[in-house]
Amino acid sequence: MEGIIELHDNIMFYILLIVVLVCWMISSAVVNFNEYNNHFSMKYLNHGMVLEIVWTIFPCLILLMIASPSFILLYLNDEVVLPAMTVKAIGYQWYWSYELSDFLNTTTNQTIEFDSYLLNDEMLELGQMRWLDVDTWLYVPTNTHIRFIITSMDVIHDFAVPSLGIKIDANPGRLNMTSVIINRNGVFYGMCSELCGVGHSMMPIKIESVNVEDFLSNIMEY
Amino acid sequence: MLRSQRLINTSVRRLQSTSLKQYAQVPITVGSIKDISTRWERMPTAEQSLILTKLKARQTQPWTELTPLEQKAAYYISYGSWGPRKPEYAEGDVGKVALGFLGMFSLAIGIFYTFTTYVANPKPASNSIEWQVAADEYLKSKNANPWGGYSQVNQTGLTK
Amino acid sequence: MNNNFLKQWILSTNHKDIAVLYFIYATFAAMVGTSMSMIMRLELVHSGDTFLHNNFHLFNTMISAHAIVMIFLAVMPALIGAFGNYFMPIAIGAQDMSFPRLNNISFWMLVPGLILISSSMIIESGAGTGWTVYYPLSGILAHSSISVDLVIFGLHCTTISSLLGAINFIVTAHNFKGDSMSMMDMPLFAWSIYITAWLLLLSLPILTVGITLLLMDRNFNTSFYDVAGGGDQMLYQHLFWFFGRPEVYIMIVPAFGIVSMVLAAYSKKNVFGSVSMVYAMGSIGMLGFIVWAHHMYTTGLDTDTRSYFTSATMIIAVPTGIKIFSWLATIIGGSIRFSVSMLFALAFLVLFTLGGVTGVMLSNASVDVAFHDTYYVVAHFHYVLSLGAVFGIFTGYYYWSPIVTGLNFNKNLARIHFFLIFVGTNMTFMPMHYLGMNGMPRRISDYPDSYNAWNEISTFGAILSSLSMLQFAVVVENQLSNGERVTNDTLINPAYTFGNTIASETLEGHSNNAIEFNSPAPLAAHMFNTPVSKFVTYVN
Repeated sequence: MEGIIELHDNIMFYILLIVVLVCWMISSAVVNFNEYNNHFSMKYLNHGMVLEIVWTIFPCLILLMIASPSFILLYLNDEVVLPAMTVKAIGYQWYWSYELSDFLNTTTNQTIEFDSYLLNDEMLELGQMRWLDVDTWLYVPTNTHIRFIITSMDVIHDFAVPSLGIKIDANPGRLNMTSVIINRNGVFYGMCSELCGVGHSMMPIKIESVNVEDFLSNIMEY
Repeated sequence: MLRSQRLINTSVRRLQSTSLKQYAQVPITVGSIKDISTRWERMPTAEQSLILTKLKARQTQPWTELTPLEQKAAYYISYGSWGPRKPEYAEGDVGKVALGFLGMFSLAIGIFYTFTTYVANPKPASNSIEWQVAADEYLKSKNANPWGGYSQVNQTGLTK
Repeated sequence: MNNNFLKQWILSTNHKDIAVLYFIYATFAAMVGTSMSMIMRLELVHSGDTFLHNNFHLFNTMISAHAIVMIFLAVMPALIGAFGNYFMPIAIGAQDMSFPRLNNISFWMLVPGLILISSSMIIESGAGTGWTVYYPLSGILAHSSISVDLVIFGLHCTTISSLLGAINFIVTAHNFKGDSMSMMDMPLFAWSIYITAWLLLLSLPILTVGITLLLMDRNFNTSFYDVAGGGDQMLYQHLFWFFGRPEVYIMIVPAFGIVSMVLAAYSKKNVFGSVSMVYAMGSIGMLGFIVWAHHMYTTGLDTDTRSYFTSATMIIAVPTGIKIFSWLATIIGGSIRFSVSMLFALAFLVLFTLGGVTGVMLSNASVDVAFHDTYYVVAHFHYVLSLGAVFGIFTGYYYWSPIVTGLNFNKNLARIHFFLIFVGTNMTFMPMHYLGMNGMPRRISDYPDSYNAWNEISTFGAILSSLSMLQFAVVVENQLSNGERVTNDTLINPAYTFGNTIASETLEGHSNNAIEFNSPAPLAAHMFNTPVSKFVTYVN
């Protein structure tokens, strides 16, 4: 996520440069070349080879300068090397279902699977975030390389947690993968980001990341 | 120009040459061209073309022969702000546009206020101050640190 | 109703009459689309249910229908059907379009399109799939009513209409030019319609394939897109966006042409570098075909694929930048007259630049992870469409309606319209950038409380924009009932040294070299008895 913010700020610089340039030129045209100030139009000013080359090359250079950090970030994002843990997030209409299949309860022979529903307005307690808080949410350990595998059981959903910089479509019949390392404890919210029917706005995602010890003791209790 | 047009022009010129000489010698009467800037647009076409013909004839003389009134009339007819040169923004247009815009803007404010106060359902309970403060406490306890601050309760900016 | 009415308006073969029909239709559809967007915006004014009583399917239906109506039934008919049909033959000196009866069918196919799409909203539950109609949601399990099928048939009708029109434009441009005009001599507006026609011709069949396969999957038990039967949903996305990307260029390239004409006319100069403008429009059109997957960055494409599409999309910024800079060079050094259409054209320049640069931001696959399907995307495309193409429509309307109708509009009312729509649409769509950056997803009917503030401002802007549509209706009504007759004087913008009377007599010093301004207004139904044989282009 930090990379995305930095790239965004980088690109914003060039964007502001271009927008300010265009607005400046239009304002100077409007102020200096209107019919009250300038009675004779420069009607033969129709070509300019050097100028045209300049304004073709200059955007190319700006695009190159935008593209280099962009490609670096893109290829960096896709390095999924040796994740320590896998979380499966399965989209249903209209809730998410999480499976942490790395942990097997040897007595009952079950892995961790649970559904995550939105708390609607009647069930909310004071202090809970409306439309973002869920009944059971995902606990993950901090400073661990986690791989998310996303799919869907019925229509296309989208697993998006903007604070962690992830957004992947949950396509039925397809497994999409992304990876995350969360560097600090905290809660991270997200919402489903692909139209999936009437409950599209009612499928939030809540991830809470805790220390590894707390996480493991939490798992034991499950 | 086509040949037929040239022929017609020369014959017209020949017909007009006598009357042109008469028009050229005599200054145009004051009454017909006084205050021409206020009268020109409402003048009937025949009178307009008569004054044009007379002025064209007078302008064949050296310019010092023309009376000041004739000079002003010639300038107004050719370059005055009527017809093609009518200004894009007439007097008072800016005020009218501003007034109309402000009127519609206030209508929009009225519609917005009426809708949000009387038609729309009220905001849900989670927008109240107590709820927002409690949500802030929860987030702080969980070490969440969003860039824009915790909630709108303590916000001091534009969109309070 | 006598036979003449039938012949003139239902069985018309005159490109001017058909263009007027298209414009009336487009205005009607624009009102329909605006009301749908108002329903959405009023529901979103604050968090929690506002007035729809939790009927979220209606909200989703409004989203889909708003997009389909505005794109296929309002903007495309207005720009290509109305302005293209009316002025492209005149610009090249042709008597009419190459296939006049085909022209008529193109228009009348749009009427069943509107009927089908409106009935899809009313019959059973409505198509709540988004205008992109992605597969499993629009499949027979998730949308088991007939609404999606009606949408598909409506899109078939509009596709037939646009395809036939495109064929017509291409053949007219090649065969009906006056004797002395080569392709490069065509005015820029004619070029923009010609390029748009090629884009339509090459991309619409793919849309037809995509939605027809969807129809078969829904009704005939095929499994082109159904994973359980061996198909893949991604096929639908690729097919749709292969059409969808050139589609948005189809909507904006005619607006480019109109803005070029207006900027040149009201700064008393020719367009700077018109040859490179033609090449820029052509390359934008061609490049639009190879960049479709930037709408699909988060669907799990391969990294190398995403980097290719990132770079290809960024390349489109280069010809677009050339066009913007050429327009700037057109107005700099001119003698700018601030008529109403010039105000719209200047606003187009600024606002299209703003929309274009957010597009450059979105083209990067890595940043798109944060912005895909959020309000940032909504802000981007509304800036280029609602503040680009729509401003282009109004520019064209205020530039050409005096000579089409022969009546002048009231300039003050028109200026009020300009300021209302400028302030209104900016106030609607600028906050959406912030909402997108804060993570508010698209197409949601209710949102968490922290997004309240910007949404309220956006809704107020939407109310102001609807009032501006009302003001446009007032302008048109005033023009048609109280407008002053157009005389030669009002069409002329003489140079500093030309006298007023000389200008009137010889039509010297008219505002540009266009044929339509050198003819008596209102333009006659049959302007030329034979194709124009010699064009004299000169700079006043």
